[in-house]
Amino acid sequence: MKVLSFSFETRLRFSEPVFDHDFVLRCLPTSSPSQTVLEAQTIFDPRATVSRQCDGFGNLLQVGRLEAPHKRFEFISAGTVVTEADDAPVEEAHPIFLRPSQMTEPGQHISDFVADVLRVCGNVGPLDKALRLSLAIHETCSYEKGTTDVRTTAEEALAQRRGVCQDYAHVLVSCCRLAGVPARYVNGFMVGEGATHAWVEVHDGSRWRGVDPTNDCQVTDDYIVLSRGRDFADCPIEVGVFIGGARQKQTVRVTVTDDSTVEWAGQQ
Amino acid sequence: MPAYDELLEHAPKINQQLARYGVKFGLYKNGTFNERLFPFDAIPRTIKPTTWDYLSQGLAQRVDALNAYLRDLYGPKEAIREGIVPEDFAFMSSGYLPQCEGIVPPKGIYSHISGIDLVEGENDEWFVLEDNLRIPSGASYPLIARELCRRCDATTFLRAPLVDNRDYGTRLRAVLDNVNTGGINVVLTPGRFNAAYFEHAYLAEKAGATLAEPSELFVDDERLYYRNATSDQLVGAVYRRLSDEFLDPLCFRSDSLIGVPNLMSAYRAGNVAIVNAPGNGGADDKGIYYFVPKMVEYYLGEKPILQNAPTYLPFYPDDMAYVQDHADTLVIKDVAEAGGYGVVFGSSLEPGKLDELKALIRREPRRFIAQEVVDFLCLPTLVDGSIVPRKADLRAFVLSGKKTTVWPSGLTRYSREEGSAIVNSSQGGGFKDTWVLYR
Repeated sequence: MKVLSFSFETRLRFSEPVFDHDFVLRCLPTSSPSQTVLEAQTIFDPRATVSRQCDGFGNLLQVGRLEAPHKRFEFISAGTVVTEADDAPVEEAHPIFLRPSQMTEPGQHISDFVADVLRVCGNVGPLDKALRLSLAIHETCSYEKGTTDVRTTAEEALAQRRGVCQDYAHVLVSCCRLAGVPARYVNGFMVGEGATHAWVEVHDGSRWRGVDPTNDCQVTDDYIVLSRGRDFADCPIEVGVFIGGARQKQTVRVTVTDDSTVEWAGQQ
Repeated sequence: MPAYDELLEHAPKINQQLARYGVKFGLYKNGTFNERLFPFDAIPRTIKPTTWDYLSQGLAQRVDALNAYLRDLYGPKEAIREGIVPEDFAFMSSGYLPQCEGIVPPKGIYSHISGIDLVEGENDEWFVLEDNLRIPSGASYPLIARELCRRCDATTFLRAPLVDNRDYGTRLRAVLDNVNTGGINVVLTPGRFNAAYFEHAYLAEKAGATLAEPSELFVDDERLYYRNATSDQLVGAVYRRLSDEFLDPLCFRSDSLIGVPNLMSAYRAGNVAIVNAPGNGGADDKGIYYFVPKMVEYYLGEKPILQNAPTYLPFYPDDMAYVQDHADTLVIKDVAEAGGYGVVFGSSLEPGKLDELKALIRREPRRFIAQEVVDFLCLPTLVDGSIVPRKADLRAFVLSGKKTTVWPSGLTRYSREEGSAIVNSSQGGGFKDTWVLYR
């Protein structure tokens, strides 16, 4: 168990004023058996009417609109979460997480890759399969910013063997589903990471287990889940549309600190 | 059969008027978009009162079951858990949208306007070929054709014992009012360059609803508004004529320029009815079709009044064996395709091609259904001055408001070529008026 504090700042700058700016954010964590949200808030500048809703995947949405012309839009979400990664509940996997999605449709590269890995690892359980695939992806691909964008598919990322956490996660999701392991895409934060992070949850037959292919590890108490979906397109952390032919510049800063004290651990 | 002879001489004039009004439809062929007129044949299809009673009861029953299935699919999923509809079909359908999970539309109605395609076989025996629960189009064609026919030749309609169908707009309005959450009714059209713009404008006028383009609508604080020159009006029901994936760029396709951003947030909050509900494609897939009679029994506890054409699902091993042995006599349909595309008659294929198709079915059993070829009736049709037989189907419009009723009319489409059984307007046929007779 860990107590994590997070702050997530996004600043959008527009070269020209924009208006009728509609947005959906998935930037607040929600409580589940594996994470308890003690507090979490978002502050908007300029101020916007924002309503909270839940989407079809169970993610918390903040939906809002800025009608008046503006050249900047900023929001900061911050809070404290108690994490307990081992407490994932027993639940069934929805069958859609076994089916390819738009961004994880496997092509020749993914199919060959999965076949190669499975040939070596033989008949192991779903979690082990996912971990083997994660290791293979980690060894095959190199983490390079600027080589992919938010629309890059799993197949494209594996073909060029480069990408960022979103691409690693898409590749693992695609591989797992092809190998018969239900997998879903996860957005969130991680201790020590200055931006948002993405990883994967695979279903081991009874529970969803977090696997992080970028760092080639199982998810620990250092991770905070924000949103889940079949792939990135289902659950972006921030998405918006506006009117105005402006160029936009986005800066994002994430800080996650471990507030669990040594003394507290010593009392056990 | 009531007399209609006098109508025939007016047919060219009626077709001219239809062209003037812009009664046409668009189709994609070989990657390019074309618009074409929809030829009208003045010889009506007539339906006897007893047949209509049977059809309308069966259609209402079918649509009630489909609505119950949609409530279940996006809610408790009991029929799926019990295996009435196997998981593989329920969730693998491309029209199933997980974004709609857990949303209960106003009054629990998903399919408000359903277009059910039927054909008539021998001995007054009817078969349902397809359920269209997304945006079934075409009600305006028989409506305006009837209007023009009456104008050309009022006497025929004084004499003929046919049920008046001019109340479609009133019925549509009642359907919208029933689910309206407070505010005006709008018909949402992609715009005047859309091939079906005529229908959008016509139906809006007939239903007393406001015709709106996407840029005239916006969502604020979980409510949908129509932007007027002077004020913003709250919208309680939106009869949208654009497909799910383009509806809201912040929920579905992010590159959609014709959607209304955050429309889904107003809908989720229960502050607007979307007609028909997004996600209905999960129930009108060609693969789900097979299970509709089972849905009638499961949800309504009734025996299905209407039957499907005999259908095989290669997904089941027994059916696969049958399809492999009899592919040359069956019609094979790709469940992912719509509008008469992806429909292959086994008998029309050379042996080599047939083997390829059979192999494809073995590789992707979930992707195909196979049906016995229903030898459906030809209707007399005037082509180039002589009356010739043409295969025809019937799209019935079923409206689910306080009750589910069937509009006593419908769109009868006939095939262009003699002997061809593909009547979809996108394949180049024409249409007829449909006369439902009273005693």
